[in-house]
Amino acid sequence: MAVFNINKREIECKIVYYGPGRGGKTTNLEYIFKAYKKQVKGEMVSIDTEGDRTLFFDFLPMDLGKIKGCDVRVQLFTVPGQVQYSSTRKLVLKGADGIVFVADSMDIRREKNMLSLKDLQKNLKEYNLSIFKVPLVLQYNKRDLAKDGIPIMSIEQMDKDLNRQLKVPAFEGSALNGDGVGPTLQACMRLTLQSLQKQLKWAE
Amino acid sequence: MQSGVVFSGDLEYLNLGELIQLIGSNGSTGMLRIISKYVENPGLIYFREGNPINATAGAQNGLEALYALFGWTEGDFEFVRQTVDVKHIIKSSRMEIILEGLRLLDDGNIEVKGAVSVDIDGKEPGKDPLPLIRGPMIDYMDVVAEEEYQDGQPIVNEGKHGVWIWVILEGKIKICKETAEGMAPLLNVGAGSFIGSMSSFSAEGYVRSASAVASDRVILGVLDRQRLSHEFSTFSAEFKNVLLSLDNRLKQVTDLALSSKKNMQEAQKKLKDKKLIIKEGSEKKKLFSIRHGKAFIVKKLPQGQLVFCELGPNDFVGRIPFLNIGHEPDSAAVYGTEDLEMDALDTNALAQEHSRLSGTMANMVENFSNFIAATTDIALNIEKKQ
Repeated sequence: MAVFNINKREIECKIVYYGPGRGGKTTNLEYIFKAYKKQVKGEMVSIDTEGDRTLFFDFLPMDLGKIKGCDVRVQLFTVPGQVQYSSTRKLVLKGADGIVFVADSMDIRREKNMLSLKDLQKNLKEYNLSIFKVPLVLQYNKRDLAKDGIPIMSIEQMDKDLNRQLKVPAFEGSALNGDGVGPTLQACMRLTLQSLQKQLKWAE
Repeated sequence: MQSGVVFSGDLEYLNLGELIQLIGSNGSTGMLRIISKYVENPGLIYFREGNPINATAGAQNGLEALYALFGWTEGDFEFVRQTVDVKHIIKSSRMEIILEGLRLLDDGNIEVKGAVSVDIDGKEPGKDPLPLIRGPMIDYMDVVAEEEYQDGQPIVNEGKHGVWIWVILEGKIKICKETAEGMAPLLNVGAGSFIGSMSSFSAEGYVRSASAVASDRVILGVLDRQRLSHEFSTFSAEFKNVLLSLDNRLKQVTDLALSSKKNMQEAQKKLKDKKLIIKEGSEKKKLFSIRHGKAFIVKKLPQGQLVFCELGPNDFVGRIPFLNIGHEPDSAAVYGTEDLEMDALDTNALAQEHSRLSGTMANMVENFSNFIAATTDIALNIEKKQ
């Protein structure tokens, strides 16, 4: 749920990077933080959670225009995968306006991807969000591993596993080199803002 | 509302992390007061233009106090709009504080000020920590004398007769039970918890069902049993039965938590030919009193069924509107014998009676419910591990 700040004439919305542990969520955010430095507002918060780090920073999207004359500020988060971090997960996911699901292309992570997506659906449901309605974008990460001879899944396979019912935009990525990171975020922000504009029309 | 309070509410609805976000995006200046019934003085957080700059919680202040306040998960908050002239000690960013506070909470590094928490301080090496049950702040009205016990000294012995009831003023007590392998610790209880039983208000020659041993220097408040017994005697028969039936449940789940028997196989035998009365997860609001026959409170686990307790005439079955003991209908089902007959109880009348209880009596009832919920959890965890 985006927050409208009348005083600052600003809309604050939240995009969350979700996905299996070590699949590349934090790498995505680290790349954005470095490569789009001018659009980043403030410092990156990095919390050491077991298994994965939890990251956060504010991002000012360009070329997306204003909503009702208000600037848009996007809070970017990763969410810790471990079950024990329920308080953090709740804070991050509650009221998420858009979600990027970062899947791991490695063959051996096939099951982990599917479990994590199921888990996302379950968690969203707890906060009254539907995975079929929330603005969602997939990223098939680690495509670069193929050239090192590491077995990875085909795009068709991953589409079949993860996107058969969802039918949302999916991007190939290699977050370590930054490939696909920008387009993934752009697509998610566009869907998120479209959805916010739709909600605003209803409110009128 | 106190003067200057611009918004207030329940922490279980809006937790500290969400509050800091809200005050932050609003850019507010003022003081956030966190009020917990498990802590004597409220915790305070000072904000300037949306950013927390200082905090106090008990003897702590600054960032340390602010993190400690993430553990105050039950209670109320009030935001007072005012100018703040405290020292600007906290420099971390809002989101860093929120995410780090919640991580510390989830990692078990912050003490939770609530009815039931995990006793990290009292953990014995090589063993899982026991649950720690606290009570609300003590109503000194009914404390007639104080007693002091040293670490390791027994307070109550299982199987002995006794009707005294105490409230823990300071320190921690271990609740244990005799098993084939010797004394087994069940849980730890801390300040505000009661030692004793509802039955001691009604039955003559009540027998203690568990032992209590001081696990550090303990100060107990002896309660005015005469005053409390008199209060108990004014309750309606239905309300008395509900309270005594809670005692019955606590005894049975305690035995279950410490039994080394094959509980699931026993359950299968017990539940043969029994019919389902209330489904687990049912939203039914009704409460019944058993007139005839037997009822069984049953939890379904992946490996089989577990009978929490076996109930008979005058015991209650169903949802108590003012208490949560972690049983039916939300977290367990009810089965009955063929000849089971029950009468519906007037839950509104019971809730009204509950709202008129004295402070001490209300605290006792809440504390015993927490005992039942925590002990049931222990029993469940043991079965899940097997």
